[in-house]
Amino acid sequence: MTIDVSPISVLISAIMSTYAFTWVFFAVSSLTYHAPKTRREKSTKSISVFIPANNEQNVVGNLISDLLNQTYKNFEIIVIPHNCSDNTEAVAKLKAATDSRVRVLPLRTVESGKTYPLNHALSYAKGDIILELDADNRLPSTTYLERAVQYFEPPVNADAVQSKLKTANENANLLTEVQSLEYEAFAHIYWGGRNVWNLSCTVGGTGVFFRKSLLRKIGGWDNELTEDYDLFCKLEKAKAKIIYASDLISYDEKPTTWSAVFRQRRRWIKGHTNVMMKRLSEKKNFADFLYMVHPFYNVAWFLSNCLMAIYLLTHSIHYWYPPVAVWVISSLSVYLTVFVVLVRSDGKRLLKYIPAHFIFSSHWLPVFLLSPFTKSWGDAKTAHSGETKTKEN
Amino acid sequence: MVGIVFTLVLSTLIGISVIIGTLSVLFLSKKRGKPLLKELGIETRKDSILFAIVFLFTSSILTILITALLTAVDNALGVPVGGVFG
Repeated sequence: MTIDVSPISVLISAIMSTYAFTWVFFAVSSLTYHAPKTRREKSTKSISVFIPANNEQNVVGNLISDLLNQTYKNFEIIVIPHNCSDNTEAVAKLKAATDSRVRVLPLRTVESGKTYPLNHALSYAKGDIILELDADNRLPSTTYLERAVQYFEPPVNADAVQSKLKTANENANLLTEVQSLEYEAFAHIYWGGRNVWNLSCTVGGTGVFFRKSLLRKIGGWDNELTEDYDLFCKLEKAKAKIIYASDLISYDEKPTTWSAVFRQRRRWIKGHTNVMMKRLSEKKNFADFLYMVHPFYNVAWFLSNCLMAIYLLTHSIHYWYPPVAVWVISSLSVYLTVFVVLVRSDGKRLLKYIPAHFIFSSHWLPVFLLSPFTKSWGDAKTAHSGETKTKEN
Repeated sequence: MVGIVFTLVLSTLIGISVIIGTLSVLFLSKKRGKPLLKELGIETRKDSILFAIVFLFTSSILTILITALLTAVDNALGVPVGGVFG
């Protein structure tokens, strides 16, 4: 029996095993995750809800209506129509005419990017807590804000709170079903699993609350393709307490076509890599370091496949070519943990899409290879139809 | 012999999976009253190219993996092999 122990084979195996182990570790940990307990006492904190909107006339009105239906009344809504060429501003102003808590702050900038409207709103915000939402979000639960403010009070005293993100258009087609599965598993495993070990949950770009004082202290959002990940790094540096609250649910629309999926995820990879290059030298814990350098996992996976193909085509594969064994074991363990997590969380309906997700997950390789060609936010804009159904959770 | 049986079992399993997968997608598209291509997230030519690329990647990875496993079985049995072109 021959074992290939060439440096490249060992390196690839080490990278792939590390990521598989990390995934399984947080997946197992997440099985004990519960949303932090709050006291359910009256809070006096006010909330400023930011809705950056770039040509979102189809959806922005629905979100404003959901917010105006909330049981918690101490909030303002700041809609920022940014470089719009449609009726987003008019739709928002129509809502503002019916309720003085809605403010519309149109913005035009030469460059595109979500951080421009967010920082613009931050300079006008009156609330103690900032809620960042995307215009396509829906909030079917009327107690969403009421429960959220409790996390900023004792005993939790969070600095930032990430809501659970569910898929509003889950039933649109097979592509949205598998994305829903992916989000359900990722949130529970990575956000919940990290919180179990008192590690901060990474923040997504939507459905996330922040203390305004902290956000201003760290200088708001930097203009990155993944401004959410960059902000997470800044919050970590400021030693913020970021929790995942699975009882707060916001819905968003997922892309329904392959080109839209590719566009969105190319931006994620390019943005993540940019932030990695910018912040690699900053001090961080091991879990954050692994999360930061995860594009290398894609490189390892891609190289592993190329090497295996070369071996097969030229001089036969060795019996224990380590990456083969590592790939099989890591794939099986990852999908086994996804299965268990979906059963334990409320994702049982998605179990039947696991085989489809296996095929879907291969998109990360071409997306990774195409990511350097993403230039700006303008290349990556996802259009939203608003044709979604949400249900009270 | 073991290699042949292994190949047959794997081929049968893959064949059954492809049939079940195709029928599931057809069933889903009929249930939602959507054309098959829309159910698969394909609305433009670009979508079909990207879908084909993803499918190709998955197939390549699985082919490489299965071939590697089969070769490993042959190696374990002491059958001399020299790669696909060997």
